[in-house]
Order: sequence, then structure tokens, then C-alpha cells
Amino acid sequence: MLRVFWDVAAGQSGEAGIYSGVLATHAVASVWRVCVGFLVGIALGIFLGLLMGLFLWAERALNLSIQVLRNIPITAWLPLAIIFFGLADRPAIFIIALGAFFPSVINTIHGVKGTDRIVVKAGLMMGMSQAQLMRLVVLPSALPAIFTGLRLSLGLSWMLVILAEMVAVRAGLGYLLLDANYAFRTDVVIAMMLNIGIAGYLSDRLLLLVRRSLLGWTRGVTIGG
Amino acid sequence: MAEITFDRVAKVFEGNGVATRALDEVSVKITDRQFASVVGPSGCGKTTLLNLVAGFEPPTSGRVLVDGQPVERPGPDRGVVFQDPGLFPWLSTWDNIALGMRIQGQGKEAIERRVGGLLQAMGLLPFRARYPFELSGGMRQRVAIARALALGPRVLLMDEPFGALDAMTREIMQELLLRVWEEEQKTVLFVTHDLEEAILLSDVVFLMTARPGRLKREIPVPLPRPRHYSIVTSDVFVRIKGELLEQIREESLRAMREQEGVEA
Repeated sequence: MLRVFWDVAAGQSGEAGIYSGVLATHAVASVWRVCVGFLVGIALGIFLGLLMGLFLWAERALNLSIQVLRNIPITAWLPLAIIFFGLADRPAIFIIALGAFFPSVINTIHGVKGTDRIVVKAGLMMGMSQAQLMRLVVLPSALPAIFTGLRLSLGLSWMLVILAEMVAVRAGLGYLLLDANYAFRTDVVIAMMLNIGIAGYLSDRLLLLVRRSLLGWTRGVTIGG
Repeated sequence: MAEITFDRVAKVFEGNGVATRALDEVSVKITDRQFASVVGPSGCGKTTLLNLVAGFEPPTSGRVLVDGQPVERPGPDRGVVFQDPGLFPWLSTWDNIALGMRIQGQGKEAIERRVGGLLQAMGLLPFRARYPFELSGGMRQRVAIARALALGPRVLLMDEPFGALDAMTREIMQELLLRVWEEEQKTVLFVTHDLEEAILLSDVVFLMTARPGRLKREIPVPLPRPRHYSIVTSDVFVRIKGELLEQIREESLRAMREQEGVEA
């Protein structure tokens, strides 16, 4: 089993048959989709989250639609995404972005609204403009909550990339997994599951690394940092 | 020059259809370089008074002036020290103090000199790279005072800054504040419910009535400076404290009787 896992990745022994050594290209395809979808989704999520957390008019205008849309399972969007974008990268990226959007927008709103009033007053006392207050007080204060959203978004992104690749794309880790299943190569299926797990884990560690470099100050504030 | 003037100031808070009169016709003048304390029963609008000068809230009627100019918004000419110090938890001690000067666009050298000097005066130099969560309550409050002073304010507004500290730390902080104030000579408006603290630090103590807050008495404190903690046992100190205690007791009892009257 481990030898099959290794052959899918490195392609020397040929034990994985036609799946020998194919991992790299498919992994790159999946990682790229996750990256683009995730970044688009969280960029929009953080931007709208800041807006909705800060301004009542933005929350009034957007909250109902976001709450309704959020309750549609992302998987239910897949047929529509294929109709709109056809088969290839674009429906996959759309689905991932949509999935990444909701946790990040909701946690950003939560983070912004949780900003300590006294800290805002301290910023005002220093004569900060609205933009400075935003950048120097509200954003750093909301950052721990935003990162919580990002971790959830990243997990969802990996789930959705596999789904999208099973349905709408002919490349990537999800495609490989399903294809191996059709070829009755259960050993390769399991090897792929392991690979997906490792990819998700590594990307989460990367995110935590970024978090730690930005949020060293929360060590004493949160349990376990 | 830095004078604070309250000119027939009233403040009414509206909430849930109920109007609460926090301040009623307050007229007070705090002269340049005076250290003025405000004491009074809880809920008498002490903090509201301070918030009006800070510009966090507008008065409902009347005018609040600093150097003859009406207060319109918060600004670095009025440094505020809050009871919950309200430090920026993501900034080190140094950056917390320096941020205000950076926003004012001051030069790097001027910032280094001023922040370094303040850290020295506050005994914070060894802790300059620490985050607020790594500091004790007293240290945090020292950072907050240094942060307000770094702005180069004309007046310093302090809202029960030592209220949450233990008695020992509070005494040390009071002496530290005395020393720093005697050096910096700012006009200070200091809100507290600790009578000894008010007398020890102030040139004048304003006693407020229970809600709605009005000025009840203005009591000068003719104790010589520089002051040391030992004056709390001097005759003058004890006499002023007795007078204040009597007045504040009378006021608290009146407030209680009125409340009972309303409820009955």
C-alpha cells in the first residue's frame, strides 16, 4: 500500500500502473484552483465583512441575502456553475470562491463588531482619520477572528476542489481519485485520499505560520494561541 | 495656556424612550496648569464631564471650551487615560506610546527622544518590547499615561485611571503621577471616587451632586508642592478629607432618599 502511495507520487516502481508518477501534475492543478478560489473568496469576504461590520447601511443592504445564500449548500451550486462556466477550471474556482466566501465574511463581521470601544476611543484621541482608524485599529483588532474564518474557508476549499474535480474537470486530485475508482484501483484511491489529506494539512500549517507571524500578540489572550 | 471651561453644560441621554439627565447646568473653570479632580457619588456624571472635554460626546446644551475654543471632536491636544487602559494589544509598549506621534507625522528622531524619555520617566525602559498582555496592571496604566503624554496634549483627562489597581500599586502610581505632573505641568482633569487620591493630587477638588450632576462645592487644596505621600496625615489634608466626606455622605443619602421616593 505504501509502495503504491510512493509510486503515485514518484513513479519509479510502476506499481500504480497507469497512475505511476502522475501525482505532481494533478496536485499542481488542484493547488492552483484552491489558491485562486480561496484568495478570490476571502478577498471578497474580508472586504464585505469589514464594510458590513463597520456600516449599518452595508449590513442592512447585504445581510439578508448573505444569510439566505449561506444556507444553500455549496454543492447545490455545482449544476448552475457548470451551466454558466462550462467544464474546466472556472466552475471549480467559482465553487471554491463561494465556499471560502461565507466563513470569511461572517467571521470578519464578528471580528469588526467585537472591536473594543475604548481602543477605538484611544485611536480617536490620537486624531486618527476614519481610514487610519480602520487600518490601525479595527483591522488588527479583527484579525484573530478573520483568521478563524480563513481556516474554515481553507478546509472548505479543499473539500470543494475535490468535488468540483470529480464532476466538472478532467484533472486534479479529485479527478484522479474518481478515475482510479472506475479503474478498480482501490489502492490508488486510498493513496489519493492520503495525498489530499496531506495537502490540506500542509496548507493549514502554512496559514497558521502566517497567523503566528501576524498575531504574536494573541499568545496571552487566547488559550493555546 | 490651557483652560477648560464648562459653560452651563447639560447632558441628556436618550435610550428606550427614557431621557436621563446626567449633567445639569454645570459651569466650571479649570485654569491653566491646574490639577483638578472631580469626585461625587456614583452615577453623578463624572465620566460624562470628561467625555465632553475629550470630544467623545457632544453636550445637549451649553458649551465646553478648551482655551476658548468649543470642543467639536476628539484630538491629540487632549490626551485621555482610561480606567481600562485601552492599550493596543497588538503593539509593543514602545509602539503604543509612539503611534500617536507617528500619526502626527513627527520625525523619527523626535519620536525616539520623546518616547525614550517617557519610558525612562515611567520606569518602563526594560519593558519597551513587551506586549500589553505581558505587563502588570500598574505597568499597563503607566504605558497609557505615557501614550497620552506623548501626544503633547494641552490637557490631560484621566478617568479613574487607578481605580482597578490594588492599594499598593495605586499609591506608587499616584506618586509617579505627582512627579511626572510636577515636571510636565499640564492642565489635568482627573475623575475619581477616591477622596484621598483627589486631595493628594489636586490643586482643586470639584464635588458633584447625585444625578442629575451639578457642581456642589469647589474645594481648594492649599497643600505645598512638591507633595509626598506622607501629607495624607497632615492637619490640612485631614480637615479637607473630613469636609469632603461629610458633603459626599449628605449627597449620597439625598440620592438614596429620592430614589426610594420615586419607587414608593
